[in-house]
Amino acid sequence: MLKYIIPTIMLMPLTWLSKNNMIWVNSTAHSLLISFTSLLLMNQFGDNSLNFSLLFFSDSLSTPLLILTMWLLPLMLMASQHHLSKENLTRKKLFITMLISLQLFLIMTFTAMELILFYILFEATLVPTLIIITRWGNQTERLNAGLYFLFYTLAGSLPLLVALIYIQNTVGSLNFLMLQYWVQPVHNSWSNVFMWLACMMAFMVKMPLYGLHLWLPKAHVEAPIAGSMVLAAVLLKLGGYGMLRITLILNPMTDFMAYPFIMLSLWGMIMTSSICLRQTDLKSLIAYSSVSHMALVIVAILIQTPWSYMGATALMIAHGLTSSMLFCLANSNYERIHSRTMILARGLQTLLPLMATWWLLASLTNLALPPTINLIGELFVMMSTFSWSNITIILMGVNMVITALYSLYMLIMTQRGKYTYHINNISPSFTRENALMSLHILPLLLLTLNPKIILGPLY
Amino acid sequence: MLRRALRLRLGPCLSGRGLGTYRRGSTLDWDGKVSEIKKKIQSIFPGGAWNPLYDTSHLPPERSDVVIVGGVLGLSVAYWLKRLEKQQGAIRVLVVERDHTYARASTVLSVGGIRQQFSLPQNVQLSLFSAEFLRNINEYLAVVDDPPLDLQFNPSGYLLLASEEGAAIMERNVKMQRQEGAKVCLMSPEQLQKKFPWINTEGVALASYGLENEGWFDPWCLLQGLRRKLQSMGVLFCQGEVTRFISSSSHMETASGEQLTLKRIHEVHVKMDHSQEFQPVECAIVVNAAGAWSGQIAELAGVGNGPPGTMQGTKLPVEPRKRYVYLWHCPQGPGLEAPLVADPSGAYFRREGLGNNYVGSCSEEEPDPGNLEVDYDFFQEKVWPRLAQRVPAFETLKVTDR
Repeated sequence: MLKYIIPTIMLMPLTWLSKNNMIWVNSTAHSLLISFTSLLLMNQFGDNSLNFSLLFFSDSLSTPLLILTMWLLPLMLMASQHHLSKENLTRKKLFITMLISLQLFLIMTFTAMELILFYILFEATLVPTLIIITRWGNQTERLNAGLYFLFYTLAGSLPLLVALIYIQNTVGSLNFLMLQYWVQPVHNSWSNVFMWLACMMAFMVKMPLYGLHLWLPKAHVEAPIAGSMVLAAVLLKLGGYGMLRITLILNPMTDFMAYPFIMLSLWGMIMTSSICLRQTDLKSLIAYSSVSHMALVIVAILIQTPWSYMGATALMIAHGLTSSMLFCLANSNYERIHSRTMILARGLQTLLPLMATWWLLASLTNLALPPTINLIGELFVMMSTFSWSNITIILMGVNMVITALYSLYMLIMTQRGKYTYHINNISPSFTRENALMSLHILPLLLLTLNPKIILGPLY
Repeated sequence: MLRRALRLRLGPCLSGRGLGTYRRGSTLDWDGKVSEIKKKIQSIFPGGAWNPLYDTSHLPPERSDVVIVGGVLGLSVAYWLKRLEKQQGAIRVLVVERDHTYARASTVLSVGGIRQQFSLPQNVQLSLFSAEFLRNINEYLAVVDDPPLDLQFNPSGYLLLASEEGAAIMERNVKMQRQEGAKVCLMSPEQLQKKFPWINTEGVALASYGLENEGWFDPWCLLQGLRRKLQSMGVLFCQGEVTRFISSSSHMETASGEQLTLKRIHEVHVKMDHSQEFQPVECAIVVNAAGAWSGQIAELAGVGNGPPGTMQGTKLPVEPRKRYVYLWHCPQGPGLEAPLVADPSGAYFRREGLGNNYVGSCSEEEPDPGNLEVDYDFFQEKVWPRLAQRVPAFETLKVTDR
């Protein structure tokens, strides 16, 4: 595990000590190299997990998420180059340092063996994200957004600390290896209800669950591009990952405690998809689509069947790449037009045809076109919820239709039609932007050929 | 006189709402407390130039989708933008105005007339719509809990007089106006004498009289109504002057191989009054509605920088022109049905209020637009003889101080 942590820590002196014109090149190249080493984690031993030490391990659930996290850092650095070009040198280096420290905490979170260590790092990821949102965001509303983000996630996760310490005292250890074998059935009593809620609420807020999702549109919209990317791609999956781990020790209470959350998620995914159809702000549309996709993941995790777990993990990886790509595309729009309103920038296909290809691919994966892994995830979740209860097929079907509607609406609004007269002199796409988009879509398309690596431990 | 009184009455309620930019209603007197704390800190640690809690409420926001520079037309653009947006708050609009009291603006110093008798069909259509807008202004510009607007629309019509040379043009114009839907009628000198006995029809060959939707109103009231409505719709106002446009240019080549540099404004620098402080506002679209000063704004944007004679070298052909307007009192003047009369010699007048006061001038000479001084000798020499010739009752008028 040190082979990932030490190079990531060392990226920080690399940024601070590089020459002025080499900071971007150095940090991007070296983080790309580190992301290639993450592929070593794929060497899993069947059902068991790959244990590095008493503190860190990785199994087939955390491996794809880790690879995604490490893949995303060079992409974030590439995406931030333009909007940071006018800042002074120290600020640029500080921004990169924030991204690197966030990356570090995320790597350690996904591989943490001990649940308290997981919790500490889970909270630690909030700090660099908050700094990135409130300092480098664009509007004055970013302060409000940072506040919402911090306090929602903090308030949700403080009960988790209490619950974890309680479990440590009763079970004896929170080490994940031992927890799997020492787990006892949790009987129905009031204190156990609260313990269940305390464990789950942190991850529900992070996912986010429909009723607790208010921080997400604000944070995603106001964050700079790197912030949006990491929020959408990785931080939301922290919630899913945490839920997948913690449901192990909460049986059999989950069978009936999960009902309100499943209902909220099923209803919420339709609601947020419908809100997407009425959005005028491009980033806001993508943020609400994130909520909608994550609601599917919540439903899948809470019904606890093998197929749903496979669907949840596949959907997490697929959504991470797709959402991040959509945010990059929206940012490339914003850098040219200086506004996020969709109607101000229309008909871009005539002006930027290659970017239109990326828009098309991103929209198609967002609406879960076969044979992408987005479809595999959604399909597995749909099938498992159907077998859990037949009526959910109606809700899932309506959601799929509305998802397709708003993805195509976003595509047609920004790409097709006659372009607005005032954007005929925007600068053409940079190679950096095209590289960014292709590095997003290439893993997504390649995973279509071998989806079993992202289907999680129950494959 | 009436105008000044209105200004005084509406003044306090306008400042009560606050001319600040983005402010959630705070009942805790936050600003007072913050300034007290700042004073305490300064008394303990005097000196130092670093002031982190600087009050920036008078500055415009750091970014906005549309920045509109200007007067009443700018407010109208902002109104329709906000009115037609699909979702509330979709487009962020910022209106930058150099003078919040509008003391030197064209709108409030104007005569405030509306007519359909133009020579371009587009002007007639615009004017017809404006008339309908003004008649139903309380449906368009209604704000909850605020009193309705009283525009004092006097639909007395416009009477344009033409001499022999201009008669043919006038007839053609009236025909076009009637095609567009304006209600205008042509009158011969005899009909004119019968309808308006106080007119001296010497030298008049033809007259066109607007029957409906023409007249005059109070432009200050329209301005305040638009401002009030826009504030309720969420448009941000800022008092400042646009000093600079930051644009990004890209070099492009046309189909015929000619090299061009296309510029795109992405930032506006708004300077505050009486200080060097300015705020860069990042924006997507800038609307130049500055009226008489739009030529200067266009120059800031780089319109007109190029070799003279080409399209790049042509500046925006808008210059401020000054006209004098006088107010006088005449007890024997034309009565309540008098329209706005425009003489072929260039003089015009209209009734103002109900006390036999009249407003008018002559639209001929072009005095220096630098200051807003009124030259009363101009009235004695140029305007009065023409007025007296057209309306004999005006021999005995008395100019009141404006």
